[in-house]
This record gives sequence, C-alpha cells and structure tokens, in this order.
Amino acid sequence: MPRPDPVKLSGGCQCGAVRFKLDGQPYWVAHCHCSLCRKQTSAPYATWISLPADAVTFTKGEPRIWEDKPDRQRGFCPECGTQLLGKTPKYPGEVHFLVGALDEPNAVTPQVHSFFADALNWVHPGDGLRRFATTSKEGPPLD
Amino acid sequence: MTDTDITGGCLCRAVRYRAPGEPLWVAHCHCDSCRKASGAPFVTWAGFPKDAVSWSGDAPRRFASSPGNTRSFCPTCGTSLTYEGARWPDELHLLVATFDDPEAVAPARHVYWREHLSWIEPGDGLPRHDRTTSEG
Repeated sequence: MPRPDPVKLSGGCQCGAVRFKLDGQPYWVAHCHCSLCRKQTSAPYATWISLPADAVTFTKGEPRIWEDKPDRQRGFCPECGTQLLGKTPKYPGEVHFLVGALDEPNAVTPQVHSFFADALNWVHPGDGLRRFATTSKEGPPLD
Repeated sequence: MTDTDITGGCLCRAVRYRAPGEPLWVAHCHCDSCRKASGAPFVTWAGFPKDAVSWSGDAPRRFASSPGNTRSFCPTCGTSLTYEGARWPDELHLLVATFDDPEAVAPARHVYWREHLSWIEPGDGLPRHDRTTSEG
C-alpha cells in the first residue's frame, strides 16, 4: 500500500475542549470493520489515519485514555465523548486518529477496508477499495 | 422484558441498556454533528419509544451537542450511546453499533445525505434523503 502524501490537518472533538494538529506523512488511511473499532465509535465502521507519533500536537486539552487491553489505548474527549485516537503496541511509533474528528475529513482518502471479515452483514461499500480479512500486511485481498 | 429484546452498551460494559426488539425505524445518518460525535464517517441509529428503553450499570454522561439536541456517552470509555432531539420528543435514538448484535436490525435509508463525505459510497441500494424522510 503506497504511503500517502504528507498532510497538515487539524481536528478536535465536538465541544472544542480537545484540539489537535497533524503535520507529517501518514503511513496509511484505512476503514476498519473490527468489532472493537465499531464499538469505540458506535458506528458500522471506523476510518483511521495513521501517523508517526511526532506528527501529533495537542493544541488544546488532552483526551482521556481508556485501555481496552494492556497498552492498547483509545482516547476520547472527557467533556463530550467524541472519540479521537488509538494507539497499540502492534504498531509501535504510530498514532491513529479517527478521520471523523478531523475538521476536513474529505482532505484524506481511505485506501483499503481492513478487518472486513468482521464487517456487518448490511455494510456493502460500493467504493471499489480492496477488502482484507484483517490487514493488508497479513494476507491477500478478499476479492 | 422478552428474549427478543435488544441489549447493548458501551465498549467497557460499564453502561448497559435493554430495548424492544422492534425499533420504530433504523437509518444511517451522515450529518456533520453525528460524525463529530462519533469520530466515524457516518453512524446508524435506531429509534425507540423513550420510555421503552431501560438502563443498568453506570449512568451515561449527557452532552448538549446543539440547542435542543442531547447526546450521551460512557464516562469511562467514551462510547457514544444515545441521541434525543426536540423534534422527536417521545423518542430515544440508540446507536446500532452499540447493540450486542447490530445485525439484529436492518437499516432502511440514509439521512442527511447532503452532508456525506465525498469518499463514502454505500453499495447497499438504500434510499438517500437530503435531510430526514419527513423533509423530502
């Protein structure tokens, strides 16, 4: 999967208590259908942008961190609940931000559907992107 | 309470709910406000009579996302759970992805399609409404 072009993006939660800037070259942008991402975002699937940890600056406030497994962190605004980020030892040095929390979600372009083996049976993306049972590093596309 | 009830809750399971097995409606919402509340490209809601949903565990934290609109989330893990709007005074809307079995219901339409992200292309053939079904 080609690495996306460098970005300069801003975002934050719905109440404005947490604001961030992303300035660097993403590793990837992907939809994730896994059950944990669905539950974190309360959505049929989540869309993530992965960046080097040093590309991230919090300009206002800090997310509250909740660990769904040891060291696997998910961050949200404690005031309004907007989900913002994820960090996992599986991807050292990376921070994953939820594209829906960006000020301009259309400025990024998702590349693949990950964990499509876990997709809900009424989700049928018509975007033509490749679908992987887990991630693109762990096997060929499903179709 | 019946065994056909819908059960669900947040990621950390601190907040749990039970609702009737037949929602009033199920729809995908593409509005900016739902997107910002969840962090996801769009969300999926099921509407229920307000007094038909029961809660256990911790109380969700409530947040007024705009005048007349209240959302709630788990204070521990942040999972968004509900929406209540002055336009639907007798309804409580639950996020389908927080159901224990989100496939127990079937979404019937896309609403607020006018605000959808440019790279979202549902291949599900469902009707798309600019705003809500009652508005065109």
